[in-house]
Amino acid sequence: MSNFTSFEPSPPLNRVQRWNIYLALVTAVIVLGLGLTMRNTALTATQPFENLEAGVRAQVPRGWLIDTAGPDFVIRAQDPDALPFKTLLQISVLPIGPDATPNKVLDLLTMERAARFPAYRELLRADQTVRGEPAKRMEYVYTQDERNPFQATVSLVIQGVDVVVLRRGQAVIITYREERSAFTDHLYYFENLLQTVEIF
Amino acid sequence: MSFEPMLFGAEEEIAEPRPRQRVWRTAWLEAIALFLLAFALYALTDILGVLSTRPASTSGRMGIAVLPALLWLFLSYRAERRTRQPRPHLVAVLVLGALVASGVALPLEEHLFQPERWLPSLDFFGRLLGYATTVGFTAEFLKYLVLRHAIWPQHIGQRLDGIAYGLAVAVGFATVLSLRYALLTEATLAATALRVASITLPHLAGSVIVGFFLAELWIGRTAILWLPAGLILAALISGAHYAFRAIAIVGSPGVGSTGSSPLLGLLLAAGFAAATFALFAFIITSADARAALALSRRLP
Repeated sequence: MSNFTSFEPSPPLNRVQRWNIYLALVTAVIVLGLGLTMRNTALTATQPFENLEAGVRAQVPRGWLIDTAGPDFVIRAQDPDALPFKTLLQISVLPIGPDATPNKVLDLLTMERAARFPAYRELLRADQTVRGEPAKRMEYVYTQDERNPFQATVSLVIQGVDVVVLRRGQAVIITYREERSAFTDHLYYFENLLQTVEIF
Repeated sequence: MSFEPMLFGAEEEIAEPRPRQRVWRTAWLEAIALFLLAFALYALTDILGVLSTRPASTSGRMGIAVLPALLWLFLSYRAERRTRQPRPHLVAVLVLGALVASGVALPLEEHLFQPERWLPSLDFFGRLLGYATTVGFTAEFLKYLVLRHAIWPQHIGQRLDGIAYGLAVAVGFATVLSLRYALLTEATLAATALRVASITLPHLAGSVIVGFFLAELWIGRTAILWLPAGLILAALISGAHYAFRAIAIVGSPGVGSTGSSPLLGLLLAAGFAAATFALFAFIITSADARAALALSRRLP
């Protein structure tokens, strides 16, 4: 009776067969390297965005839905394929007074959102730099309910991060929001945006 | 007069193959049975409305998922056991195929390649190459590794041996992918059957290619890049199926339809398997006939 561990020993191979075996391994390394390069290129592919009036230039993910017509933002990019929450990147510009600080801008955002978002809660604040400029970073969470009563679903927990940079009487707020379980996995979209954003 | 026993020994085996089970008949039967079952469940659910359109129970979905393996056991393996010299280790190869799918291919797909995150945004050729060079090549390479280390070359006596073992490893591999779908997706019986068929049939096609190239490497006179070419060809076939499937199953949304055409997806998977079976059956028949003719010319 044959069993699982009694495969017979392999007969000797000729030179062509041996080289085929070696080259199959080399091919695997090359092909998988090519595939991973394609994957990384596709995931980090961007398209340029520029708003001369607001003085903002950035690279946003290619294929995302771009909205530039909002009253409270310069650009809003959303991933149309993301489920259950469409990953959001946003750049807003707020006029500020001469004594404004990034902390005061974040306080203002917190007050405004606490009234608008259910269960809004600030998680942390920290100092950061954006392309050499000092900035303030704030992370927060809130819940989002499905508005359509015919699609009764459990509330989503959304995690967000804002980075505020002050510039000549304006505060530039760069925002990222994602469903909590995917927040860390997709944070690189936000980091890429921070690395490419130009405020002029 | 010179005498070369090694040459005669090798070609005699091709001219008079060992009394083993012919593979193509049962392979076609399995593919057709899988196609008909998926089509029947689709017709009973979506056309005739006999079956419920609510998600099926997990046990029902898992029953559909293991159906290709049961078909293989009932058709191919049973026929194999009835021959005078059955191919050894076929079930072991199937189990190894399932193990590499579960232990290597699925973790790589879910945590590294993540095709659903980036492939849908690419164009047709991007999807083809992207899938072929990640998920497709990994699957074919793992199936190759199973065959290479389990049965090659000691159990390869004719080209059809490569096909038989290739189909066994494909069934094991595809069964694990089908079980993952059945366990994680709340789908109807028809949707599960359609998905199981569209997973299994292209894997059968890819493994026919890998099995043939491996068998030919041992039996025939091949080039130094023969095996890499076979692996790349099999991966490209799976990539082509993925790319065409994105076109086939997305129909035109309208008042009377949801915009998806699952039947076209099934036809596409069946078409890939049928074309590969027909092409490689022709190639193997021709190669065996040429070998037999060459031998008959040498014999007095």
